Amino acid sequence: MNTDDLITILAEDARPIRDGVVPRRLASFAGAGLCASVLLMLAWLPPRPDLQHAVQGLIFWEKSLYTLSFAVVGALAVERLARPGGRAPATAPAILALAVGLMAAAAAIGLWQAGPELRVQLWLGDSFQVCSLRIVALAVPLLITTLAATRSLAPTRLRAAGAAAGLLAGGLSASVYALHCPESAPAFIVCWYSLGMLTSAAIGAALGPFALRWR
Amino acid sequence: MTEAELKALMLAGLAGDTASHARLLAALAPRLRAYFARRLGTHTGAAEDLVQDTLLAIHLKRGLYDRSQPLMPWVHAIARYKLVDAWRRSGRRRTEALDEVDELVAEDTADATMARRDLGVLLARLPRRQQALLHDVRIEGLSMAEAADRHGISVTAVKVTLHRSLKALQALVGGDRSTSDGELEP
Repeated sequence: MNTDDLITILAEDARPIRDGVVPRRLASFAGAGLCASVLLMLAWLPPRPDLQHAVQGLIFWEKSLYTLSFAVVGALAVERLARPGGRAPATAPAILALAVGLMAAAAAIGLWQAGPELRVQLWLGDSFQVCSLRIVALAVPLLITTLAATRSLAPTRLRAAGAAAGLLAGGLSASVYALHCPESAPAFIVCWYSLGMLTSAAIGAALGPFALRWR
Repeated sequence: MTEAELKALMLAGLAGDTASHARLLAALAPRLRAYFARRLGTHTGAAEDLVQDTLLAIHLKRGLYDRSQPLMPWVHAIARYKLVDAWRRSGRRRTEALDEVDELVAEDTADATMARRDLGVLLARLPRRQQALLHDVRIEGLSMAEAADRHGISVTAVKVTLHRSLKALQALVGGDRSTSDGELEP
């Protein structure tokens, strides 16, 4: 086809475009993935028995704030990286560093205050063998939808966009997992929760160059 | 047409003005044609396919354009993505090396005196034939064919020699003098 003819055809197709295509697409896909992740958890793991009591305490929300901050950083980054030429905003690593720094400080205080015989218990809890793996497993439906949403847009830095989508998926799945997991020690959370969320980001980064190619 | 004018056309197009959208695409087409022709060697059918592919992507993805940002970096990112994608699909990622020589040669003509002086220092480290060819083509501005004539060798040989000497120069500039495969005299 002649390029001038193509331009004529494309121009005739130019309808008004509403602003905010990217956030809408990401929110709807991530929302669907979140529902799938919650359903997967309910079918697999029971909610923690003391959930009603836990949501009235501070520790549950500190933990959720921590995992959600990873999701927010992933969302902010993928919102930019899903566009041609987009880069992650400079605030993204700063927010992540702040969240990890605060949780690590809380962990250090907790470990310091505890007696030497209790420190390993605080760090490993009762579920360190399964925590990160379960977060990754619950992230699978979210990874599928966040990567699909990103691919349907137009990323040009595929590895970074994949990592950001994976971080969003990991942050949300860890927040879902917190509905089951009763662990509350900052030393446990900063280690095993972070490991699960970052593994999800690493999977996204590894898949990005293949899964995010658009035409 | 300036960035501001192109962006104004894009914004009008996003608001549904088909005439502005047509003018934008018509203004971008020759720029994209030059961009792809430069990178794919000559003006071939492959370059025109990429022009059309990129115009289509610009049209289909225009909802992803952030109206607070300049337009041309966005267009460039799409063009670059399409180019890399085309290379990947045709499985000849890096075989454009020889074409790159022409491009580097062409781009060097705009260099300042300072760069020319530095080049002179570096040139002295290269084998004599490479020195002579680089001098003729890069500094004197001879075409590949003229340089080939002057040295009594084929155009391909000129390209290969230039490519080797550019790689050697690159190694010198990078401070890595050990990876020159013995192409450099001690």
